[in-house]
Amino acid sequence: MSVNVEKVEALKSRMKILAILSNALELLSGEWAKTVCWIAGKRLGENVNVGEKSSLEDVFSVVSPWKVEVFEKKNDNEYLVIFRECPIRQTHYVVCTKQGNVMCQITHGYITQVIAKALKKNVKLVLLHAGPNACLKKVVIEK
Amino acid sequence: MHNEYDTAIEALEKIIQSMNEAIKEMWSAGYIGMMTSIGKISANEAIKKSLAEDIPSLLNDISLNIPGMEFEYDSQKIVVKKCIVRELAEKGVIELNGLLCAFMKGYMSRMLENVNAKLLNVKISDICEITLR
Repeated sequence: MSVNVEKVEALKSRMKILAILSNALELLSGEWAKTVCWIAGKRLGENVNVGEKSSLEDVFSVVSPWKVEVFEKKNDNEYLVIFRECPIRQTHYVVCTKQGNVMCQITHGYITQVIAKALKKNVKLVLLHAGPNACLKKVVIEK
Repeated sequence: MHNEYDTAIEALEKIIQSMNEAIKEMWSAGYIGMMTSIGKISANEAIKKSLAEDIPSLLNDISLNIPGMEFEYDSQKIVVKKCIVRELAEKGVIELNGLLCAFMKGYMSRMLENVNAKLLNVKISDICEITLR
């Protein structure tokens, strides 16, 4: 078996495990599942060594394997951002679960925490559109 | 060589670890029973799509449903030769005999009931063994 086929299998198995956990959470906790996923993502973000950054572009350079770009600056506090690569979206497509659901809160919690840590400000992330190749979200930075 | 697959695998493992911790904290005690029930519910869904009528073909279906699982069947015993949960536990991502082991136990027991086999005992260790009734 070639190295990449082995790694794709390893990736698929982990995606399945993640789906099992989020499905379990949703079955037992209902709406609370979103909060738990958000907290799980937030904790993940707390462990990222991001340092102090001045712009969103700089922050997004350290969030690998997520690939996020600033699409439009609405004003000083609001930005439209595109999530081009996201392990959670890929998981949705591999295990056939609905996008924009519970698992997406992991990404929200993670990215929000990383931005908040780097800019030292509270941040809100709003999903505007969830697509198969990218998602459009709004970042609101509190003054 | 470290490539984008490794980066994605590492990221997913960190997410799984974080989710596992968050769920345990939320449910505190009693999560083992809950996860076993959820395993059974998931198996009910999988059974609808399965055409297996004997244990070897059922084990093959399970390996297809959950990548990273490999079994060896010997009349009264199923040996779990490769298991994604054990693999993650060995890497320190999750703990052995925790949430996901409970899920697998529920899942396997319900799947086996579908081919008229009953799970008698599960030994969780370096190589897990499922004894059938």
